[in-house]
Amino acid sequence: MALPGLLYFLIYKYVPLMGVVIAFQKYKPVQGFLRSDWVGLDNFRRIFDTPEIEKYFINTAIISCYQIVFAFTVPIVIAIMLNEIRSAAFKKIAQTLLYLPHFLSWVVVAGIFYLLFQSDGQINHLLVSWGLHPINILSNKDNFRAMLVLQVIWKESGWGTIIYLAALTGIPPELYEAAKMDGAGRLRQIYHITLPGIRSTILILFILRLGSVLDVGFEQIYLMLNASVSDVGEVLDTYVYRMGVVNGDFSFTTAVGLLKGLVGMMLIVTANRLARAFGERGVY
Amino acid sequence: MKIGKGLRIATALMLTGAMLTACADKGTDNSAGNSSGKSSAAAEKKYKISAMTILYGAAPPDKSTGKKAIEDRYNIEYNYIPVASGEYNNKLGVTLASGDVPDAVLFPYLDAVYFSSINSGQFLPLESYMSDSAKYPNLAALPKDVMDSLKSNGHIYGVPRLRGIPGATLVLRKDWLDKLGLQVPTTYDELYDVMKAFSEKDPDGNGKRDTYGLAAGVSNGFPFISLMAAMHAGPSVGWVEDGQGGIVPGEFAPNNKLAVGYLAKLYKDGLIAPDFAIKKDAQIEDDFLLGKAGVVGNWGYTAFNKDRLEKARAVDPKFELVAIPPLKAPDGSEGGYVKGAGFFGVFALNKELEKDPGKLDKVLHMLDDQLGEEGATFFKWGVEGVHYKVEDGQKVVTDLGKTEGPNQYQMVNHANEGDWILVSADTPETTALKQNSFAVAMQGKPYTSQDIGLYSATNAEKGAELTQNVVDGLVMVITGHKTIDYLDQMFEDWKNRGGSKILTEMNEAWKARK
Amino acid sequence: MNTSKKSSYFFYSANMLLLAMLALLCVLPIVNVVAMSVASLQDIVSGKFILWPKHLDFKAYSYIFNTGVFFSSLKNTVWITAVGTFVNLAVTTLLAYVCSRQRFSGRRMILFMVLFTMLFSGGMIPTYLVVKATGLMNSLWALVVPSAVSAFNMLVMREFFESIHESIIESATIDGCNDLGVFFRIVLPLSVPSLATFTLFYAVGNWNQYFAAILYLNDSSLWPLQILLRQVVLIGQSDIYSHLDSGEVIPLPVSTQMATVVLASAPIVVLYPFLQRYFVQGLTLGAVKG
Repeated sequence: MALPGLLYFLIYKYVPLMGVVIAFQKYKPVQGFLRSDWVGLDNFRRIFDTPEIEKYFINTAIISCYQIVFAFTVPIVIAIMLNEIRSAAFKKIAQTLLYLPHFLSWVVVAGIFYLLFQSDGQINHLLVSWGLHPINILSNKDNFRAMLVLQVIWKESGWGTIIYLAALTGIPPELYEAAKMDGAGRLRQIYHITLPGIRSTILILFILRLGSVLDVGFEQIYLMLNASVSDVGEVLDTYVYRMGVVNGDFSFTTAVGLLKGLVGMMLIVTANRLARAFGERGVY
Repeated sequence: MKIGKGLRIATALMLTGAMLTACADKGTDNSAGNSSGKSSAAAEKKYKISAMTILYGAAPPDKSTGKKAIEDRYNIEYNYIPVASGEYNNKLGVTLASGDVPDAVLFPYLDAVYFSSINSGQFLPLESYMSDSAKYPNLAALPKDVMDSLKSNGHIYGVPRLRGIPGATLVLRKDWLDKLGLQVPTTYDELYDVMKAFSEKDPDGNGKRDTYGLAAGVSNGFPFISLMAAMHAGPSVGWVEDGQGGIVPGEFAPNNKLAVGYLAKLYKDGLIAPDFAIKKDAQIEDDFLLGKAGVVGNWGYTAFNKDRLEKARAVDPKFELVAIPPLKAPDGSEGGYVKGAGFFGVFALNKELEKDPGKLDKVLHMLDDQLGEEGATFFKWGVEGVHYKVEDGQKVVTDLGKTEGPNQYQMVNHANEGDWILVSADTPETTALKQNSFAVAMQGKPYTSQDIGLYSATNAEKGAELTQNVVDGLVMVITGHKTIDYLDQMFEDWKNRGGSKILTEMNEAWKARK
Repeated sequence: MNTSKKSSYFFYSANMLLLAMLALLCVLPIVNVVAMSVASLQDIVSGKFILWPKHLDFKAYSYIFNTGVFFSSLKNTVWITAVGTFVNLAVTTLLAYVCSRQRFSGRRMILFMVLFTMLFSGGMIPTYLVVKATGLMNSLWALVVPSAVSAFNMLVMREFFESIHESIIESATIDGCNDLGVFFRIVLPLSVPSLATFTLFYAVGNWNQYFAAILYLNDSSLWPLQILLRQVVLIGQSDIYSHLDSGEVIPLPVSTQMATVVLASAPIVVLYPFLQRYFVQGLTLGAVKG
């Protein structure tokens, strides 16, 4: 039964995985994997030779933490809020509207943001006409990261609730009935029934999220980044883009990918161990 | 469940099998892509020619009257491979790696990817064919300037897609000048006064101070090429001569403090938008078209078209614009604009073509034909009655011609001169604007960015990262967060981080070409 | 009793109000996109309307319908989404189910193997070579087979399957069902909400594929809608044309860009309301467990 799936992973994931050797080469497409020059750890050295690498790394880590703390939890909260709604029609409509922003690509979202928030954009026109001070959020270091995370929350939260809504369907309604009989209020029901009901799903998603801790959304950041905020907004992915992608330097991009994978690996393995130690199933 | 053991065996078998396939693929796949063997056997020698090129906008249909017309013209089977512009480098990478290289491949930029490809021996040196004026008259007649900048170690690997030599000029709002009773500026000081008036004297007459002098922004660079040109320094003019027998990036050229200082003054006095650093190309263009700024610094003659004028006039029906002659240099001498490279991208030919002279000749003939008067006319207009019709002695493009005319599948084009700078959509007004821009761009002492076509290995590896630092630093200086002397420190930093090596390599390449 | 009812009423109303506000916040920009797609040039450049333009103009839509590639792109995308999602679900559910069974000894190893591919990948070129070696180049299958299973979806799906109690399966086996029989007759019907979820995830993922299409498909007649979308929208908004002689590439009007966004997203957006009825609480598992 599992054979088609296993074959898939072997052929399309594990066979190409042999290609990571190019992280240790100066790979030229024409020469291929076998004949490109071997350069040992040169590509990795290049990463750490960049004086700003520490800054990029810290920016990435901070933005990633924000995302895990906020963008990861908001969908859970919304899912629970939706779960509390009795009116089926309202629930359906709210769900559908909330998930719409997921379908706009970042290019479009960034475009809308520029129109609304630039110094002479619509929001500032409005503020000024109300006699308020215009705001500057696109080129302001102090709120750049917060803006990034808010954008992600806006765009992806509704979409993120879907998986929790599916998990919530697994909770037998009798449990709520019983709790009600015992006189438990809504909040207590949420705490004692709803949350435990989706705990394992939350845990799995959390562990998997840790694996991509160094991915913070290249397209979004690339589109929003500008010279005024580069101090706080340059991340590993934008750096790799400049150093490797635009030059067609596949060795360099592979080397960074390998490093990012190692970091993700360490986090996942640790988190999974912990989860299992506490009696949870974990990812594997 | 009895899956366990059988599964392990199957896994082992598959893994071995898959690895073998993959290895075989890497080792022996060279012949698969080139159908030369097959097609040369055919009696009428109908070659299958493949060409990979960059695509902006929607793709033309894969089967169409335009493509058919091209196939008939050359008696070929035309495998046209358009690649979405955003992913061109990736597609190029996998294509080269797979050994399945099309007969003709476009390299949009002479960048690291281009140089590593031509140095790898996968493409054919073309200089001997291109000098054969009997066989390929149009290839032989390509502009010498352009061909010189394409020379690499004495070889030429690319057939250029020609563009106009005239570059960008300063473009001003003519109606604003007239309204405020101002003259066309001829010096940097006069330009400053014009920009000041544009931002302070309410040129759009709406009673609010909501306009700027210059449409400014930062994208991959600064859109100030024609503004900086007469200074021979500053961001966006490329590499310039340093007056000591070498070349340096414009940001570090002798006049750099003057040039960047000028921008900083514009910023300080409120003549460019306070948040200009967030504006990218689309916003910069909109600022000018939609009446927020009165001067734009990167428009060449191709920028003047009907769509842009329509957009601008939807906001202000009185919108008029003018491309002005170059300003005087700061020392009072005659100034000039930066010339264009004269081409945008080159087609390189697969080395394998050497083995099939008939096919090679066909590909070269196609390129040669499209450069010439007759071929270029065919590509521009297509087939009469299908892609265009003649009304009152004038050719008019049909709807079909717009979506699938031969020009949609074109590789190279006629040199941009005379009427060839015009397109079928041009109106009398855009025609006049283009011709004026084309002419004024070459007035005074126009010059070329010296780095075009030069290769430096260090620059290929570190250039983008270093440039980013320079851009960030320049924004700090322009916005007044750093003093103008910070430029010296930036130059030192740049040199310490690999810039010295880039300087050496670029200067060597430059001298070798001279 | 009374105060608790009051507080629960307050809680309920506040919750509803908050959700309504969030929903509004999500939908307004979308309305703006739709409005821009039918706005006249005048309305767009004046920047005065936010929700609905004064003058309607459908030129943008007629432009897209006339590109000549819209309908073929739509056809390809629908094919990729339908066939792809079917393949995805078939392969993923089987693998996830096997790995959710405690008695299958190799499960942890396989799960780890799958997880590993989320963290490390060979990258674009080796994958391209394998796709080529398996004969999928320039065929729509290249957008189906090489992405047959999403490791993420598989791992989460397995977590959902875990909640099906082993005793149910054992009793079915005793009744004479073989493994496949159990899977189709017991497991799948019990997993409707999660199947609906992953149908949605996969369908949307397939609908949005474009990078694989650019790499593997040379004939533009095979291209999906997303390439058209990106080609139309990117030209207008990114800085790709800053390298060129300025003006070489003319950005398409904003209305055209937005019309493309609408046309390329609308068909997949309506999928969710259809799948929503499968998310009814407690319908399945509760019934069986009881």
